[in-house]
Amino acid sequence: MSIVVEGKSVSKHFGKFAALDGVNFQIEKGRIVGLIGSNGAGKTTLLRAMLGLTDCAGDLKVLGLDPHEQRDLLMEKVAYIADVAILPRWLRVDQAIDFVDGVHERFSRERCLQMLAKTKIPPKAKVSALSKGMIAQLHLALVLAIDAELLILDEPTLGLDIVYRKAFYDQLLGDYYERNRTIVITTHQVEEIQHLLTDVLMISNGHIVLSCPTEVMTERFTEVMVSKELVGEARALKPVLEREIMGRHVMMFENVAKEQLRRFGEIKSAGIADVFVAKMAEVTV
Amino acid sequence: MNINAFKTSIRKEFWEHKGSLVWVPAGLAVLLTVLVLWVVIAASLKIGDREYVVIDEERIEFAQAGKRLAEMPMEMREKVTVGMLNGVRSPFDGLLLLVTFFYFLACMYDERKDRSIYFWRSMPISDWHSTFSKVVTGVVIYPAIVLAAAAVVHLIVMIIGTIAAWNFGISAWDTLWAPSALPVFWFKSLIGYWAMMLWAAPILMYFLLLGAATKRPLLFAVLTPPAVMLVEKLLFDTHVFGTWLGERFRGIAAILWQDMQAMADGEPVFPNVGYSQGAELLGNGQFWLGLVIAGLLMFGSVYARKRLQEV
Repeated sequence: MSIVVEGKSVSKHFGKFAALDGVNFQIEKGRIVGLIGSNGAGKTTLLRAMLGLTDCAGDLKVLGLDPHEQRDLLMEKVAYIADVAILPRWLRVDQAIDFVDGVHERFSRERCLQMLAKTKIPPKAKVSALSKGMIAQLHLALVLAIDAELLILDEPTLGLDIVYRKAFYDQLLGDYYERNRTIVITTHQVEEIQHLLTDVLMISNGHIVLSCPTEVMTERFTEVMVSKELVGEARALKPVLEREIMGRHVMMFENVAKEQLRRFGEIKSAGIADVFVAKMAEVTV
Repeated sequence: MNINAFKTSIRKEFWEHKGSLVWVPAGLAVLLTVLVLWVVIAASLKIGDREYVVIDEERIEFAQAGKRLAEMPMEMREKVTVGMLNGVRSPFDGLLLLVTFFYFLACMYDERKDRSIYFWRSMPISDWHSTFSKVVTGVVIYPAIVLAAAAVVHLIVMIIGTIAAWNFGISAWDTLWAPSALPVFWFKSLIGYWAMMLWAAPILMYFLLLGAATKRPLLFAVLTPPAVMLVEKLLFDTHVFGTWLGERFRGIAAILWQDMQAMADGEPVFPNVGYSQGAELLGNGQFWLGLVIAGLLMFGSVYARKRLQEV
């Protein structure tokens, strides 16, 4: 399988602060990768480095190009949404379409209009007259109408209500199945996109703390609702996370066979958010 | 450079700054037209059926005045008509300067302030491309738009003059249209505008850089020159920068209005920067030095656009 993004010892320092500290990772073609991290973990810095918006040390290649040195070439193959609020308020919907159509050779006006036809966005409306959700839909329609090999979405649904968030991800997923392109996405609402992801890339304090396909993660991490009398015995297997919910102990184990855990109580695959919390706790310890 | 993408980038500048780049010159044209029509109508009502006016106790017969105008030598008729055209154009000259200064302060600042720079930079167009499209919009295209607005008022004034000439029973062609040589006047005006823009380019590109690199471009634009002059005076007891800047502004005025002053002095009339003056400008070392400085400042603006995304 071909590699779309590859980073070797990627670092970025702001003064003494290391936003990225020798990060190594790969993103394969056709995957939907969730870049998960808390605020200040280095997610946005990594995405900005991948988009050539900031320089960095180490070796970073996106679609075989140096993103910082060859940004113009890269942008022909990569589309991104940095934040929902970046479409200028004075721009009209038809002007936005005309602009992207005029500057991007891979943009399909028909496809964009088809996507917009499914929304309630008036074709001549100014961005300032649209709701946050509509702006996000417009931006997504513009971006998805570009025949990009890599789509990067940095907090694309920030500030949107649940209805628009769901519509946004449905549209994204529909597009993915249709075109099978590579998508990298960050969001704080991890649970909402869990079902979309094929891979997770967890980042904390400028380090990659977990990088694997979601099915591997599901196999690797198991959550057990441990019966009270077996808590001590379960603890001996060194859970990576332990918490108490309504008087019951919930423990998460990494790389422990499910058969071995089943006797402690009800087991289930761990969610991304819980795994992330566990990995964060690991790093902090 | 992808020409289609470049044209689209320029269109985008006009979408974004439609108020100052399109509506303001159009509004000035409408205002001047209304003013001219108001003066003509008010004068007509006041004069009524009379065939004369009294100015400073001197009775002037229209037929006599018309005859005198028709009998003027061609050179004199050129002075009168071109003077009138220059008079109509001069408010547009001021507008061009004012709007261009503010356009260059705002065009790279606004996209940082509203964070739309992330959207523009997500497209496959380079920072050079984007910056150059702004420069071409302000330096090349906007002067043509301002002149087009002035030309509309010129035509209205000329039509009014034609009707008046018919009333006086004299030839409108001989007294107005032929001596004004309107297309030549417009062409020379456009060359003059472009020459003035290139002469002012170091100032304009400095404003562009301030918009691309600072949080308060207007404040820097106002305060930097006196600050530099003060530091120079304190450190070296010289005033090289002040002299250079003063020459730049005097040059702008000279390119725009030198011939109007020459007309007042009774010199032969050329409406704007004529061919000879254009050639003189091209042979002027200061002109080329200004362009080199402007180029460096533009390079700085591109660099700042790459580095500083937000205000």
